[in-house]
Amino acid sequence: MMTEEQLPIKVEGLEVYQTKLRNNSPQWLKAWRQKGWDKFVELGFPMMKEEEWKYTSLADLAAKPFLIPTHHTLTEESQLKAYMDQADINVVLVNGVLWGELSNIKHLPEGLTIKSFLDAAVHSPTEVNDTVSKLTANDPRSLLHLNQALFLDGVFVKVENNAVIEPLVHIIHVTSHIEQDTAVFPRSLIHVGRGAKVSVLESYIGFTPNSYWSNAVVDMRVGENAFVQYCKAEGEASHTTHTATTRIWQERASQLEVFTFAHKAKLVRNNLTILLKGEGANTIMNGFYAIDGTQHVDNHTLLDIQQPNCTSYQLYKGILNDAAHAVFNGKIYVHPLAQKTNGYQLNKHLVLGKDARVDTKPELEIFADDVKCTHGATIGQLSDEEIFYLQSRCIKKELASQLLAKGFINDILNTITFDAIRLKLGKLLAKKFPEVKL
Amino acid sequence: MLGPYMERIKMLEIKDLRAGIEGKEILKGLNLSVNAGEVHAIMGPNGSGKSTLSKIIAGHPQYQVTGGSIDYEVNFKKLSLVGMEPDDRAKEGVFLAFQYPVEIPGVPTSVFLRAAFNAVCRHQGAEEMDPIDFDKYLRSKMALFHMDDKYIDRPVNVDFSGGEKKRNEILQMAVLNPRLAILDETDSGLDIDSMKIVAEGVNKLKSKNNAIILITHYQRLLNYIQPDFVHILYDGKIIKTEGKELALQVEDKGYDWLIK
Repeated sequence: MMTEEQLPIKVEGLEVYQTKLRNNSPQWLKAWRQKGWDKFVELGFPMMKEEEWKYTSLADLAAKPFLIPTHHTLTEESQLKAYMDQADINVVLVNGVLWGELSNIKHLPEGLTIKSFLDAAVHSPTEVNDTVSKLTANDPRSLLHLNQALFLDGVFVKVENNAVIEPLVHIIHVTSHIEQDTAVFPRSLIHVGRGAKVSVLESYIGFTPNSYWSNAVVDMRVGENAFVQYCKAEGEASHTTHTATTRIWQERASQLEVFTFAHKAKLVRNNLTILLKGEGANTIMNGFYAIDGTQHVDNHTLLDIQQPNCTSYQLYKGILNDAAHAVFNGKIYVHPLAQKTNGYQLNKHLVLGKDARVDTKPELEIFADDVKCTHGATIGQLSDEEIFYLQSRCIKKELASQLLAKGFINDILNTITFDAIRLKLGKLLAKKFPEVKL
Repeated sequence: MLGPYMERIKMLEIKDLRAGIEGKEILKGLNLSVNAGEVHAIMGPNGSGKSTLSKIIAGHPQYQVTGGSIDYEVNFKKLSLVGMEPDDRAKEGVFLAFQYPVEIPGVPTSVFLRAAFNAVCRHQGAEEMDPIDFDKYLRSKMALFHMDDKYIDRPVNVDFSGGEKKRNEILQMAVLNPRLAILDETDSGLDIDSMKIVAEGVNKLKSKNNAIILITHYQRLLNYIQPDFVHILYDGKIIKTEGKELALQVEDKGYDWLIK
């Protein structure tokens, strides 16, 4: 056994906490948590010398001891309510634990189940275990294993075969009432059955002046012919580090529209992996980040195309001010079997800050011969020509710049076809980019 | 055609204009005088400075005026355009239809045009138009150019064909109702039907209170919009000014005989 000094992470009261987790877990979960812990200890924190982490440093994070939250209550209800909509199905988790007061999951539409992860782990062990262990096998990403070892609880969402869920399922992971340097481990598992239809927004929101680290994991299975719209919105407290691993598994002829949004944390690292495991699956994976100051947003996406006749469209846009730093790495892996793949990838930046920096890299690995894949990246400022055009139409220079920036943003937000999601992202962005007064 | 000399208002007077870009002089002492109610055509070979002239009148920030003057008179107000911001010129009624209209992703045409229209209203101390009234106004102008309603909500010029972009420029002209409109090669890239529509629209907008400068390579457009004067611009200067028959001569003989 390792001594405490040798562990790659320092957590106050780790032993007591892990004992508590063990006592709360059914047998299979205990073993699975232990596996996660062993794997994390083996791999340690990601380092910049690893190709996958070349531009993003977690050195500060690795150096400090963490606390585990002890409270799971919320006093910022009114602030949260301003962001929520009663028309949606709201699932609020405070520091990893379901908060009944603001959630409305008692009476759900037919075909929809929402409960805590632990509840599901106890009552539907085969179903939960089947997905998570299949997805986790041999995954080299250490932060994922750390979540698996230390997550307290989370949420399980299930949509039955052929169920059509009209209202938005809005899962809100709130971090609140925590001490300085706390670590939270939000976790979600979403199962969408054959031919089902659902829209899910996961928001990560923080109400605290203290800095914390949120290390989230989302696993999702999209059944045959299902249609899923999924959006992940980062709106953590500033000073926060937000790392997330999202793994989505698509079956045959399923359709998925994913949107990844980041704008507030000090450091964001998103690992989004989509496995196209069935023929003719269709994926739209878009994203937007709006950062300033010394904010750092790193999006690593992997589209793993394993079967023929799949199509994918990917557009990530970023707007950078001051000395913000954006990293984009978009990998598309086309397996030998995946003939007739049609893939499109584009990453565009509008750089407004003098000291801003962008590192963008497409990575196409294609092992099938009958494939069409295109990719591109742009990094630009507002052009004189655009501003002149607006000015020549009576619009003042400052207003022209605002309008063009807003247009750049709307252009990508408008790809979200579910209005309730788009409006909420607009709400989150309103502070940074207020409505342009024309 | 023209009223008696005394009734004409001198709208634009350019004297000995010298201007260029990045230290390279393109206009080398250009003179041009345009009265209200007139249509002027400016023709000339490639690189003679036609587009530069249009951009300088509109106030493109990349071009520098190094000598001469551009005086503009509107509503009994005399303004020197040099040094004025492009939006201030536009609010005073100067309009440029771009040779290459810019695409503005994420900004619907209706929002963009209402912003422009209301900026002029504010400038003139008139009441602004609300979105519903403006929508009606815009639709009536679009009908003028046989433009599909779908353009109203589409982002400005995005995924428009070349012809649609040019038509959109003339639509904007109709919405803003300028005093001095400069059409920079609006005819280039237009098929004959689109050109007829554009020309028809321009003719409808023509009045004794405004003036139009057509910058063009070809005589074709001038079959549909009759100019009062045709100027030949060569090497940064206007080397010949005559009536509309000059355009026909150019069509016939090219520019060489004028240059020698």
